[in-house]
Amino acid sequence: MHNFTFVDLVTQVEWSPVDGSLLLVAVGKRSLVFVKSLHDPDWHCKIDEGIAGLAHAQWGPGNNHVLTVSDFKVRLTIWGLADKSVQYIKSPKHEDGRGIAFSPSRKMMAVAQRNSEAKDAIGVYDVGKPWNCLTTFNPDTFDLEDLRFSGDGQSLIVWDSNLKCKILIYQLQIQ
Amino acid sequence: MNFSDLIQQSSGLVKYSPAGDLVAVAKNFEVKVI
Repeated sequence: MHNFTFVDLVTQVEWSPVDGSLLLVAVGKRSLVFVKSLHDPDWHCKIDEGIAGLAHAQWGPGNNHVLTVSDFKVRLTIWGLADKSVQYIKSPKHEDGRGIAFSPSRKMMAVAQRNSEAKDAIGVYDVGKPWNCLTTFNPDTFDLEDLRFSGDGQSLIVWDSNLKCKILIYQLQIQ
Repeated sequence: MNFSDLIQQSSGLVKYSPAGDLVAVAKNFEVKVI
């Protein structure tokens, strides 16, 4: 049994997706994310979103990256645990985990975003070092609700809000 | 405190590990893994 104590109210807990050896703990009021290891109690990681605030935190496709969404959906930040890298993606559409999806191979990430005209946009990113943007496009949505990759990772399924009840399938043509 | 008490007193954050053999329970400033 492990017992971890934090500086303020714990707002989110997520196991690492690959093997469950790491535990992500968000302390939203302080804009902090902690990562604890069950195998090595002395190892820990602290992520501070600072004045940007913390609305949501989650694991990337593996154990090496943590994603955070700032307050007011200003930015999505990709934190590299192994190399301490930090990368930003502007204007994610949601701040509760919706609108972020990984391909089954875990090599691509799709993010629902707002473009400069505040309309729905989708960015597809290469999961790697760095997370290059492979393509962006504007889906034919009124108010994009969420998205997922197809089982073969070749297509993106996007669905609209309940007002439109629309599902769209986009084939990704990424070399 | 037994497992049921712990779950009932949690702040609503109860997450099972991917393998299903562990559970993380958040309560206020603490997270217990059992």
